[in-house]
Amino acid sequence: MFVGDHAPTLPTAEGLVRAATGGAPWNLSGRLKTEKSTIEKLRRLRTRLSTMQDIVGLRVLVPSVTIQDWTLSELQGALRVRRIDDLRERPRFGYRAVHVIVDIGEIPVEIQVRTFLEHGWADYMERLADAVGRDIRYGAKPTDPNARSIYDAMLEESELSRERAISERGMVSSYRELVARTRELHAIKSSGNVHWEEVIPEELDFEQEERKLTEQFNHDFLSVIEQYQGEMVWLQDHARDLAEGRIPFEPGVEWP
Amino acid sequence: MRSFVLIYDTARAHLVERKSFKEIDRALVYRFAAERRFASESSFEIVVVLAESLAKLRQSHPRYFVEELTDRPGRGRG
Repeated sequence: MFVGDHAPTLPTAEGLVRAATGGAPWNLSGRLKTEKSTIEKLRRLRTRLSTMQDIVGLRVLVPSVTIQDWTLSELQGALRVRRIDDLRERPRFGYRAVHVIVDIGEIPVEIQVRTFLEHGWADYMERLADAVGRDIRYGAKPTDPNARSIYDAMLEESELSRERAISERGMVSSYRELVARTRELHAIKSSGNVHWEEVIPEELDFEQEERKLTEQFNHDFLSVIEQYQGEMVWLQDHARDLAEGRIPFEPGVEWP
Repeated sequence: MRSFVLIYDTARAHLVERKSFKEIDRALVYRFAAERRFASESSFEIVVVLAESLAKLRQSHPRYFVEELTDRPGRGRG
């Protein structure tokens, strides 16, 4: 029973990932690959069971892309990483996430690190695939015009997430630079080695400046998270329409 | 962490069964028995998922809980 042999690895891997990510405060789950998806993958990739690296899988959900970057770096520091598939820059048919393959003993374990938004997108695409045909996850297109328009909107939504990631990283990077610059000026002033009054206003309170920067950053960062949540609602509304049959369509896919 | 066995009908977007176990081994035994029990149901997906709680499971695997989003069960297709 191959999948059964892997079962003890799942709780072990879960414990290691939880420890590596500071207790995984957001959401950590694990699963053993189903018989159906195992057979589907063996057929699709014409591979062997012994070479599959995602029989045991974990999923870490995080609020944003910079926290995803941090999580990734913590995993790399704590676990034996075999491979990283960063699907954020090069998505797989619209699907974005980071997949980290690690070795737990001799068993490979796939850790999916997804932002909430990437997760919402992937979940909705799964539902669409259940309704239309599973192959839309691998490049096939829905034949029904209504289903095709939902699918196309999903691909556009996925493209937008790349721009959002660039913008969020830029915001975090600016904040870090500003704080570093403030501390640097503070150190220069404290050293007494230069006539700091020539370049830094005498009355400048560095600690207050840093607090102001941090408050502004926290405000901006929360706005980003709220924006993500807004888009999650958009996806959730579509999922509801799909589930309740408000968007009528016939199943069926075609390969381009 | 608890081990959940979910039996989900993909054709009807309907969660047929949900069982929770303290030990993953027992969940696995239940899964293999369910795979035999529903061997003729080609649209059924039977999965073992580890999660801290049912609430966290709903976040991490929302697809299986689509009916909770809606007023009426499943997609009613097929």
